[in-house]
Amino acid sequence: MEVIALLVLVGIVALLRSKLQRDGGPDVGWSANGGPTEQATSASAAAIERGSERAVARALGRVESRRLAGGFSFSLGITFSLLIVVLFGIVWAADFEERWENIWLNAPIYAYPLVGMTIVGVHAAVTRERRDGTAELFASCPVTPAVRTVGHLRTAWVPVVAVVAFLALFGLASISQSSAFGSIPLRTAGDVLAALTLAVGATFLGVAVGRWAPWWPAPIVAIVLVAVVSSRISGIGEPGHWSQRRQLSTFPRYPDYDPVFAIRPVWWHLAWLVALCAATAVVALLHDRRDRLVTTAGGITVVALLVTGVGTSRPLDENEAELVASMVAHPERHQDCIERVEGSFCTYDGFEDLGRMFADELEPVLAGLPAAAPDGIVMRQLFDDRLEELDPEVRDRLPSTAQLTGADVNLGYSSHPEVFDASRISVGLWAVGLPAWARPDASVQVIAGEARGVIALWIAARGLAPEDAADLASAHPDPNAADPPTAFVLGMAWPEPCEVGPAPVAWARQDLAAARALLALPEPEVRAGIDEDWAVLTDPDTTTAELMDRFGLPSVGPIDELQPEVWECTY
Amino acid sequence: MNSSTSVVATGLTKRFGATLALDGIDLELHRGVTGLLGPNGAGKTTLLRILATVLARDAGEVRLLGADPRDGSGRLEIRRRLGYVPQEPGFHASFSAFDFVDYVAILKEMADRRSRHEEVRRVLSLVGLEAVMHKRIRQLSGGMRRRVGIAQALLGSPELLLFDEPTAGLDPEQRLRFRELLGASADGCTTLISTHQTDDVAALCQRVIVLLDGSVRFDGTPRALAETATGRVWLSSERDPSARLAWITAEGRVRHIGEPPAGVDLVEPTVEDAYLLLTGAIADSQAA
Repeated sequence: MEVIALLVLVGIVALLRSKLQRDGGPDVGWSANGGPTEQATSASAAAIERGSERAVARALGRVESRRLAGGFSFSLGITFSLLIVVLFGIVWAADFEERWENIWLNAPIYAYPLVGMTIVGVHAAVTRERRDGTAELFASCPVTPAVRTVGHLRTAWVPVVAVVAFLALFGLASISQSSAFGSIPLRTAGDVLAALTLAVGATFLGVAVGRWAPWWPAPIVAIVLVAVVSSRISGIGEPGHWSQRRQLSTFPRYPDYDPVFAIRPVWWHLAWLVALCAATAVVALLHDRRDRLVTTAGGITVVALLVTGVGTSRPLDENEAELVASMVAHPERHQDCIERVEGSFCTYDGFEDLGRMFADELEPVLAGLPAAAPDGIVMRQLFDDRLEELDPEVRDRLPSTAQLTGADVNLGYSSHPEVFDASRISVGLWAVGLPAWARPDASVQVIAGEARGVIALWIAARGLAPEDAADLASAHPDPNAADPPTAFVLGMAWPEPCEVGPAPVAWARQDLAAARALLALPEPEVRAGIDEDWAVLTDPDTTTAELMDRFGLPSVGPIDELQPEVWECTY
Repeated sequence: MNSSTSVVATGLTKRFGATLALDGIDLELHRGVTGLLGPNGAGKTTLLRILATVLARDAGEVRLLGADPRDGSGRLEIRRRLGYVPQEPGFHASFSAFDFVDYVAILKEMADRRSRHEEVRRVLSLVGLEAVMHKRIRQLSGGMRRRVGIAQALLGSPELLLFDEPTAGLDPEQRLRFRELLGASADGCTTLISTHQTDDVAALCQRVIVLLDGSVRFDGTPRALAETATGRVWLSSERDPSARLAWITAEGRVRHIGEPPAGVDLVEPTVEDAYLLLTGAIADSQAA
């Protein structure tokens, strides 16, 4: 917050300074340093060498670059970027509980504020002569509008450098603050380059809009149009059904499920963005120059747009579809496993760090499993989203959901603390013979009043401090909900499904109270009791009331009646 | 056309809708300073804009510095040798004077930074702005802004200088300085100044053209223009109703122009007298 306040303060000071500078200063005599006649006769024009069009464009580019970098709009874009660094790289960085690749594939979206303000700043620079009434004077000069356009196009390096600096700052901040894991694959460079390409594209778009629509609202309209069109492209196809045509968007394009199951055409998409930039530059130049060079460049960019557009949005080829289908249907063929105590933690390439985190978290739970519990638990990452969200070519190669290879426990793809809580509960549920995870749209199995549900929670809490253990065996109804929580909500110990996936089972609140009572007893006492009566206590017919009797605990009262329902993320 | 002829226009015509701005003007400009006089709407600015290659003519022929402005390469050649101060030049207020003139210098194809900056400093020094050249234009007075406009026109010592009311907004001393500057720096080039200031013309120009309703009504030396009013300017103690124009002078007497009654105190006419007489006479004849 201090940093934000400092930034706001700096902004106010800059604005005040700018306002003060608008006030006129004292007049200066015509001949401040000797009379004009004297000067005129003593000074003669230096022999000025006329520069080539390229040299002039370069000189204009230098001047315009300085002005863009120091302009209000661009400074505002920089301020937005710094805010992103502060908010996402520092304040909220701990919420990044996923692979570094997943964070960096959003690089273009982080750059959007700067990119947007670049469009505004460049447009202002291009339309300056119209706004300030210098158009007539400039028109009398030998440098053509087309060369001036090239000069403006050459300022693209300014936002590129700014985005590089911003991403570097963001990276440094988030490395020290975030909970992200995993290595960064080479294809991430494509996402970062996409952000830089957007910066170039913003410059070119600002120039093009400035040339063709030199009115002040035009850049705002352009930004909104690009945002709307990109957003629409990002949503092409039926809701919940992935379409490769979404890759044509300038937004980061990836499905709702983890990108490990997506063949992202990163380099094709980068080429598509480059082609878009080239086309925008040609559109800008066409305003004032329609010779063979520019029209040929226009033709080439049209071809490039077609080729890269097809390349980036083409359906998956056979090999790619086979690979993804195999990853979904046969994860064991694509995963490496870490063996710990009595369990295997199996993850896809890039998730090794997450596998180790799970192993460390669940080691006390596995070590604390009752002797009578099953052996050899397998915990792996599974495709746990809807199959219809996959590419059509992949879906065609998959069996039905019911036939998919499963695992004892689904590890998921995030290092969010609630995911570890869910995996603890999953291990407990698996140990007592209950479903440990659920696919989307599946109704929960109601285990209200069943002793094994209580035992599962006791197992899940192994190794936790007493207060954390009690919290694990508690429901967390939304305190801001408009309606009072239902019996279903009051018995739901499964963490937030938007973070951890759908709940496999539903307890009654009396079960949670029983679990907390059991957790409050000395562990050796409970362990001995569970070991002794494992078969009975994990029998579906054994009730929570019988469990309480068995351990001499007071009754938790009549069990709520629950109906099965789907308990999953709704946004 | 001799070697000193920079501008040749024949039958130059320009129309804006129903308004005939230039009506078949024939014109030749040579080295030296030429003043262009005329009331508002006479076509002065239109003529200068055509000569500055920023406005296309509808009919007639123009050759500037030996090149045809209709032709792309000819236009380029003209612009390379042209300095122009539009009627309302406009400035980028957030630029410093140096940056603005530097920007125009680039637009005049001066790509090499070092020599360009030297040239920018030279022209700013010519107009006496070197002490404030790094101040933003928004901080400069109206007169200093005018001088920035003049400075940019002098970049590269052009062969053809076109000034559209360059002394508007300048105080008397600044106008004097401008005359001095132009007298010194315009040597060897062709300069056309559109102005309402007849005393500027009298002091500065070797030649004066009076434009009225898109036509040239006088073309000669300032002295010749003044002489057209010889015997038609007189002073008296009271306003004479027969005079075409009359006004009270600083000495408290009434100066008249028109057909003098017998016995009045005739005085030597000025360029302004002649100009007023000329434009008034034409207006009268049109009214009749």
